[in-house]
Amino acid sequence: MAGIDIGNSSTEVAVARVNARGGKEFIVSGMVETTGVKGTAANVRGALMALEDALGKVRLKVQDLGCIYLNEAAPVITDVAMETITETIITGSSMIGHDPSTPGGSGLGTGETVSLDQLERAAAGQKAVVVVPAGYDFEMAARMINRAAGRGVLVAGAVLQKDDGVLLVNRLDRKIPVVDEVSLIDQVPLGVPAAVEVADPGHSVQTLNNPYGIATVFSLTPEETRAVVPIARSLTGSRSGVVIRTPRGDVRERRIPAGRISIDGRLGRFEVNVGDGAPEIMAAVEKAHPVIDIQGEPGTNIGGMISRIRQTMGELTSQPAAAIRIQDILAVDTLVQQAVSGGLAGELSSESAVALGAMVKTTRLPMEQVAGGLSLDTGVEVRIAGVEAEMAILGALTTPGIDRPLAILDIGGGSTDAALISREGAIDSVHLAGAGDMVTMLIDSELALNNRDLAEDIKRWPLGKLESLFQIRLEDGGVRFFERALDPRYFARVVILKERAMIPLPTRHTIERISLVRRQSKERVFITNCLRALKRIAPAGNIRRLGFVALVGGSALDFEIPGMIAGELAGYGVVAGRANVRGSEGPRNAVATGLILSCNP
Amino acid sequence: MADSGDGRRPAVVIFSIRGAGGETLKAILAGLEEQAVPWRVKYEEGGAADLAFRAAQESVLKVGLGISEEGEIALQQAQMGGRPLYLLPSATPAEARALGENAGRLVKGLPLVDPGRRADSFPNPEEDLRELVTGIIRRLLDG
Repeated sequence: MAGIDIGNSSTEVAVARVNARGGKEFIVSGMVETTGVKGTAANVRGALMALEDALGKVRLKVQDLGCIYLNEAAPVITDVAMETITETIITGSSMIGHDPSTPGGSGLGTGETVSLDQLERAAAGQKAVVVVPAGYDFEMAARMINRAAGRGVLVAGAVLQKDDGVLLVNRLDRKIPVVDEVSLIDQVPLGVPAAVEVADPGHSVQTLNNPYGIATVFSLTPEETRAVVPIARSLTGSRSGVVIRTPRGDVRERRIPAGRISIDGRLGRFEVNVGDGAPEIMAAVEKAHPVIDIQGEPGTNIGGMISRIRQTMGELTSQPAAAIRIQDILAVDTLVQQAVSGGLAGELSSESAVALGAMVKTTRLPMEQVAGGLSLDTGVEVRIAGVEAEMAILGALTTPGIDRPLAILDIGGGSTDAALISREGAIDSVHLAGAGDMVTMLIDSELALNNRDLAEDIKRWPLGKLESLFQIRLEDGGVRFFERALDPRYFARVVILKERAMIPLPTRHTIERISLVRRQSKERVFITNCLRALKRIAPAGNIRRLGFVALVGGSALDFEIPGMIAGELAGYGVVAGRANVRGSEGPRNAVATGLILSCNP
Repeated sequence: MADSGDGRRPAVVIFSIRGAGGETLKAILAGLEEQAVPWRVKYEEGGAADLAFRAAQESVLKVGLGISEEGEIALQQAQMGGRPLYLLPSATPAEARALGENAGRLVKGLPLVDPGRRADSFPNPEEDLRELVTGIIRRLLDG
């Protein structure tokens, strides 16, 4: 007989036979990607493929099966969205903060912006910041600046369109700070006060990253100083920067009204402003527990997401969208990189945002459709047996060294699911919003990748950096040597070590930053939800009273998540680790195994 | 950043055919200077790849460039065996500049620049997408 578990992403199979003594003997397992949306007739094809995958390994045929057991799926629809709550608008005033790799000179220089071709007209004693477009060769520009300086013009700094910062300064009689690679040089306002600052290699600007520093340079009033805070923030950590003051100078950090969420619980309705941040939102969710429904304000990103999942679930279960209830959300504070309007060189600034995952579930899916289709195609009897959570627990209990009370955690792409079997055998389960997809979104946004697939790869695989053309330094400090030279395009780049391939990252982030964002994103979603879920099902909400916690499902195979969760739970005195179903399957095949164990052939 | 003539000073070595591409050499030297990496020029005979390889062996920094009579330029690192890291036939001044920068970046352990484009700028997904689509359409039209 066979047990088939149709999940959101994979369909798993366990095949067993009844031996002479009437006991069940497991023969083989199989797995394929689920075809179609879970709970629809499209799943039949995947179920068949999984069966053939398993049976093929032991030269059995589908027709050899006496009975097929299918799980009673608990459908969970999830989605994620992000709401930005601040925005930096710089109007009138301009800033150059793209941090080119080879600026020239060092120090702080202030003066009026003057185009190079107008430098001859500058008067002696005038302080000038020279603006040099690409048409000028660095030799020529140096000659012209030296000439003007010789006349008495106080050339205090320069801004170049081309990447010639070092070349220019090397030819000047007097060294000045020079910021180069300013592609939109025509947009640099002329005839206005400007300050150029360049720090030594390995250092960052010290005046232009300080609101009071900018205030000193431009003699600002306290009110004007408040307005330059976003510029100072943007330039923090940069090796160079330019601030240009214009008559209508106005810099604002704007708080965007991000909308409200209302959470209906048994005790009443709790409203919270998304802009107040994740802790406020999660506190409201806790206060409202058990949650009956959640609404988002129409016209906001989050409102749109909530109505989307209502609609999807309505279609899946043939119910009106209005009848669907949202039972859980997970909010995480995050940063989103947005282009700074008023930045002249494609600068990005970190804006505060809230990421939200929401979940909706119903009690059962019409698995009869799938069962009927499968029975027709195979000629074998198909029975729907067993609630998913119960089957998963039974399967997980086959892990060596495990016992009741046992809690299992299954972190999928969309939801975090947990189930508990008490010492006496009672089973409880819970589904929470926030899982793998949300982690991917956080990684994508905080590293400004604009590429979900790349973010997904960063989430799943460890990093390395090419130290030479023959070796890679791994995240943990180890080194991997190659006999054949690596592609020069990967030289000195951070790469993702994915299976047997290396994927170079097209970003300037250091390996430390990327791995930090990766780990923090996993912590803020998985650890938070692991604790939330376990508290919901633990006796009296006390995690210490759980004897054993086992991780099941695909994400338990992630290279760092099980360790992170085990580390977090260490303080609670529980045994926590990746399940090993039947001592051989690892965290997979729990439900399929459970179906076989519980059936009566 | 003048040539001091001292053979053992750490520097990127450039082997060039005497009289070959003056503009090309100037552009390469500008790239190295912008990266603040010392260089030394020597006049030798040979093809660009061969010149670059021998230059790399002679360089204390293990990086070498070669400029051939036809204006072909190559960048090589002493650890590499066969083909040079980059080989550009009749390079434009911009490409020569980029190759000079790459020589400097190789020494400093920084990511290299694609001579056709600045590689360490923020990736422009629209531009990449346009390139990809153009390439696909061209391939379809070419059959």
